[in-house]
Amino acid sequence: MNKVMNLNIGGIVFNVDDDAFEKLKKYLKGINKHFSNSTGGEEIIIDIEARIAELFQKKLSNKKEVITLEDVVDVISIMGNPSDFEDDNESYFDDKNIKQVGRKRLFRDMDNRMIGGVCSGLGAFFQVDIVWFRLAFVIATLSGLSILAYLILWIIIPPAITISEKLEMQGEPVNISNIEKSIRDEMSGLRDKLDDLASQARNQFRKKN
Amino acid sequence: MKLEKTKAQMKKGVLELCILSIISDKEAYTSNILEALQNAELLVVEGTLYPLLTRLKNDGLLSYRWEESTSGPPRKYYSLTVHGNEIMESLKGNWIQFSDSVNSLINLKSTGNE
Repeated sequence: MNKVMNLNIGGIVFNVDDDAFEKLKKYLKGINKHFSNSTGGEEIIIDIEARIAELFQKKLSNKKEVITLEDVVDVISIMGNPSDFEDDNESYFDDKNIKQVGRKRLFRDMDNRMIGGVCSGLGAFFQVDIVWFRLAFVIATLSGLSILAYLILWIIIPPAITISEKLEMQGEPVNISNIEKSIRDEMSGLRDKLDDLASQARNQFRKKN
Repeated sequence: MKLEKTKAQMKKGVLELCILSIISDKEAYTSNILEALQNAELLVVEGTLYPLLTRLKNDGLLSYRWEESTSGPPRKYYSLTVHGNEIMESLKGNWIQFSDSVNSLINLKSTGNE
């Protein structure tokens, strides 16, 4: 007969034999790994363990006191493998939950710059209105330090040039849909500029006539 | 496999509405919900339910209270919040409209005779 050991699942202690223990350990590890990074993951794991404990208890009786490999296999077939519950994280309610936060990096914001894009970059990084950084630099100029500080920041902070750098500057995850969105934004910006040019040209033309 | 996947996706689409409806009838404990869903053949493996319940709770659609159990771990009894009820009603209306139009599209008369 297999060695029997005590195992605490969902706050209840079970006698589990060796094979069953190994199988269960592997299963729970898989579940932990699957949910450890998702929203409310810890709670999901606790719920699942509680349910496993409940299913185990149904299998035990006066005659049967030890959970065997067979029981574990059966319970796993009821619960399903982590890969089976994969897709359910995405649904129409949880836009706010699955909103990923991308890695945020400090860049100089070349699209909104006055001089070198240092203040606009700082604004994007700290999500503070750029005006406050500009104001701070202007006021600090009176003390004479800020021009040097600005130059140093200008040198050490890289400019955001590529789309993925711009997304990282805003803290948006770099993925296809975001890249697509930025390209669309840029294109519409370009169109606005072209429209401006066109209307300017028209005005010029009218003046001439 | 493709056929199974399509069927699974159909089920998945209505799963949340079904869970909300089960809970709206009366306060339900996970096993009650599981049983109802399995009777309706809406759930293949139980594990699917837990992430869903947690998400619905985090979205403020469900709330729960703990109840001690003599035969096992403490149980979570779920109930619908006001917000959850609103969502359920809205989904229900949508489902009725949707199923009607799909039924008429595929020539199934819900009344059974012409």
